[in-house]
Amino acid sequence: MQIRVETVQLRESSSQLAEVLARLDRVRVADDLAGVGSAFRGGQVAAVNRRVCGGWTDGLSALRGRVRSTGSALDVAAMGYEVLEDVARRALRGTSVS
Amino acid sequence: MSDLIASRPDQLSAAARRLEDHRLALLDAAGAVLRARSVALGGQVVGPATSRWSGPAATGGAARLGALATEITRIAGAVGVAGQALSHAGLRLVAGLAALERASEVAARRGARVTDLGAVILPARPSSGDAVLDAHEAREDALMRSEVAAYVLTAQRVATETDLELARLLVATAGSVGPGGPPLGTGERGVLPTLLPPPPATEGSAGPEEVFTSAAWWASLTSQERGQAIAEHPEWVGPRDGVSVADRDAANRVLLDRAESAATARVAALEAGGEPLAGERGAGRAPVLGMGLAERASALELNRGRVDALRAVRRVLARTDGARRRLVLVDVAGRQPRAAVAIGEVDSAPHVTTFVGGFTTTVAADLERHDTDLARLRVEAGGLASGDVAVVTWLGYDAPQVEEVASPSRTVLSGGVAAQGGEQLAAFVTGLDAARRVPPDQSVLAHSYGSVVLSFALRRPTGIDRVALFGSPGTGGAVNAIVDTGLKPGGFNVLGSVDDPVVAGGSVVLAPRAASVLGSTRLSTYAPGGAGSDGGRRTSRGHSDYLKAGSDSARNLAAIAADRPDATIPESGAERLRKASRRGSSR
Repeated sequence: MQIRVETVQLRESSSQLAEVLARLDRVRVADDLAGVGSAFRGGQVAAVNRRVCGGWTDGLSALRGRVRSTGSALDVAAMGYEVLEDVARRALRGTSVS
Repeated sequence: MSDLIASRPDQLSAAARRLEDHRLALLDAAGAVLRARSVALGGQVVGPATSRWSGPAATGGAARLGALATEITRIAGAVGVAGQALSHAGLRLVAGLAALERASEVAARRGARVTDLGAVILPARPSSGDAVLDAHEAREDALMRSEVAAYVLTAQRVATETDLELARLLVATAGSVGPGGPPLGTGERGVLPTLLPPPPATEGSAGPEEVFTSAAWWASLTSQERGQAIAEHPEWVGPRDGVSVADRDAANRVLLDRAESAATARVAALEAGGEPLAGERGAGRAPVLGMGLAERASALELNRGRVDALRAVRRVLARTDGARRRLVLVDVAGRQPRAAVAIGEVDSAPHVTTFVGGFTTTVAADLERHDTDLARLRVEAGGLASGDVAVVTWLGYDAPQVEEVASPSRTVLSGGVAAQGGEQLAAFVTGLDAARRVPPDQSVLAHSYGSVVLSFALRRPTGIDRVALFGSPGTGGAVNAIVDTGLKPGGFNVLGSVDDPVVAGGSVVLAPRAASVLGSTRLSTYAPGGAGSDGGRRTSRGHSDYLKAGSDSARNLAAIAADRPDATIPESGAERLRKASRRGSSR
């Protein structure tokens, strides 16, 4: 097994994903489509508008969830590598790992 | 219609702008994810140390971040498509509302109004006491009703189709968000807004309703869509009465190239021994020798005739006398090629004159000659008119030919061909009016059998303001009095030279004589004096001399084109006497 990693960069990457998440929070397509139904009274657009808005809300929410979990995964990876390094270092130096 | 009136295109445009902001934000986010991947993998310097993250976890992490960036980019694309759809729907709704506005405007010009249900309410029109004027008012009302109905229907069609289209795209884009969503296939016609197709054409020639509907359809398209229609479907645009002449010209030039290539290729194939196509069999005039040989000869003749006609069109378009030509019609699908070429700006000139040719007229043999005559007439008319005069050589009907004299359906000796040609002419001139916000002053100058065609056209409601029938064999029974035509008093002008055999004898089969039409105005073609005298120069001789430079007839035709009835020269007593004595001596 060969491991080369810079955990600071993993944490930096995770923090960049947190910024992405903040940007995605401001992307509210459903809010902007909500008024479209009233611009087209009594037609098909008005009929499907609720479903369309729901689709965007769910889709973007799911996307944010994936960004969030990816950021968490990077944090977990960084922490895991650090723990592993710590355990290995202590073991080899004869220090207790508990 | 009330839903359309209450629609808010500005809301759609505003939503489209906000979606565009979201699209850009998503693309930024996708870029940020890719940078985050690069940082994680150590491809980017963070702090003093750099090292390369490697191993199975690194591979998995890179893949996950890459997939995330791809997903965000895909969603940005979906937002972009939704935004485009909204923006396009906003423009379409604006066009729909403009169509309603146009309907109201057209009605208002006649003192009428359009209700919220699309009905036209006309003011009471008491009789003027003049049957001709009353007929004219009735014609104008009929035209107005057709135009209003066309714009109202088009507005409704635009609104309905825009609503359906936008709903489809919004559902498709919303459904594509998420990892399991179907791909949008951005850039395909199934995703991007589709071009509103033209209204379906009826068999034969178009009535005024259809012409106005075509005009309303064209007006309802965005400028981008018009360009797309011309480039991708020139056959929708070029032959369509009601579309602006500039746009028809652009489309027809594409069709001209295509038709010339096709006809040239067919000539080459037939000369190389190829078999005639189904539509080419029996279409030419070659004598029957043996079936196979005659069919090939006939097909060759047909295609050579097409090439000759198209080349004549091309030569006229290439003329460099300082006047711009527009190709208003080109069609070689039938037995005789048809074409119409305008000189000047038909879409904006205050006066538009259409010339109609007669017996034996063909594009190949006559277009250039008529174009020369009309260019000269345009100059003379321009000197009389207030504002520009545009002229059109309209060879837009299948004129009867010499070899068809014995054919009951095609003979020049009956009004059969003229009845069909009249419908085509009526649609054409109505289209010139329909394509403009404010209709031009329109006149039609019709020679020989063309005057029979014109007479039939006048039985339909058209926007023609005045006509001149010259060298006319008669009206073929289509017009007996000016009240039949809807023209104003003084609008039906007749010119017949003192020794024109067609004028003298044509009414035997195409009665009544044009000069006998009740309410017609007879104009001069003759002045006393021998050859070389002033009278000789002013006099037109025979059947084909009416546009001779310096003649009374050419002057009169120019004055009619220029809407200057005060500048016409009426038929003199001397001319009337000459004609009466000829008629007397021929009995």
